[in-house]
Amino acid sequence: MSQHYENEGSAASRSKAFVWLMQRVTGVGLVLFLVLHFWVQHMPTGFLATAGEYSEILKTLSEASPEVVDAIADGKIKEALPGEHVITYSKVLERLRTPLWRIIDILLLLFALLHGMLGLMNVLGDYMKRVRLRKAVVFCCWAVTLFLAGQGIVVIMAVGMK
Amino acid sequence: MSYRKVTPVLPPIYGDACSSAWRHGFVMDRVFTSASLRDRYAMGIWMVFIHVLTYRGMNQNKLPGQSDTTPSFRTFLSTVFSYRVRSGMAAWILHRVTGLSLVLYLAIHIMGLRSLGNPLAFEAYITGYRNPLFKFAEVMLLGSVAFHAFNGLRIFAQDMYFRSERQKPLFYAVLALTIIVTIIGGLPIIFPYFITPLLP
Ligand code: HEM
Repeated sequence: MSQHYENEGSAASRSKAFVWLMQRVTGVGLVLFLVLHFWVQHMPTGFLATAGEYSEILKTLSEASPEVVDAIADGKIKEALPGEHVITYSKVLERLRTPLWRIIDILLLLFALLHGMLGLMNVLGDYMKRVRLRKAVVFCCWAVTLFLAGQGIVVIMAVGMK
Repeated sequence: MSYRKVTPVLPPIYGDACSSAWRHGFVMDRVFTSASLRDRYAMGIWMVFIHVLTYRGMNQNKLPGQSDTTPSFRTFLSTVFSYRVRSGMAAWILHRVTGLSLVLYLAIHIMGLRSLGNPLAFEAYITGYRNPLFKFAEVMLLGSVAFHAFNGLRIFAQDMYFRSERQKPLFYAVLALTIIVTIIGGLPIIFPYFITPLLP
């Protein structure tokens, strides 16, 4: 079966092939990172505070700052339910003291952003056929990607660095 | 029929990867430019959305002398319910919808985590997510990720090894795995909120 391909071998075609490859590479990487991420942040493991530990943490925070007392009184910060495991600052800090975790988190961030934004550009490209509009949209997507990557990296690196 | 063919851009060595819709068995190579009613009705579930979105505006581009093409509400409903969901179509739509929702969530998530700059703000931020509605949303998020991941791996595997003849059983495997993972991962999340309070 012989078929004709528009732009065969052109720069546009090569770039599409590269995006296609990146989607696979980042996709497979994300499986690994997301399993880890889910295990650490959403499952009842030692990476989260138990209800008892969280109560202690809130007590210590309250002693250090009256703001926390107010926040608890206002319901802005709530005690854990029995059996609940809570994400909390000190546990995150404890984990990120290991440089490997910082690297893993940054890789997760970059993989997810790259994969997601390339996917988004692919979807938008399906519905936008006008070349200049498409270019403008791709430009905006890259701007957003860079912005979010910057935000995320700064946040991850800044934890506990003060 | 008035449609424009979208020509695949990649050489065959990449599989049919150029158009995700194709490989999922969803005929998306018809991009309607000025669709007649019959043409609109020729496509699948995806068109239901288009229908609902464009129902009231269908005559906007009507030329002088052209007859009114807005269907009666009954015709509209019977058409909407006449679509059959084929697994390929469902896979494609779900992959796209979960992918896009995850991108939206990712952006919100990154912006929210700026609160890590201040322990008090971070505890308040986390407390915001700790209520029954958001716990339910958390399980939905897990479900979306699980489906997208398993389906993504299926796409990958199909590109490499099976092409499309195994698509159907593989898709059912994806659905089964998604449900299993969502239940196993979801239980610890909802337990303290929905189940422990019910226990004596
Ligand atoms: C968990 C591991 C993941 C795997 C294995 C995976 C796999 C894939 C693959 C293979 C594609 C290409 C589909 C195609 O060419 O037809 C894809 C598309 C996409 N992915 Fe993922 N993905 C994962 C996670 C994510 C995450 C976390 C996000 C969001 C940030 C995301 C967002 C998207 C989007 C928006 C698309 C484009 C959808 C489309 O073209 O219809 N994915 N994914």
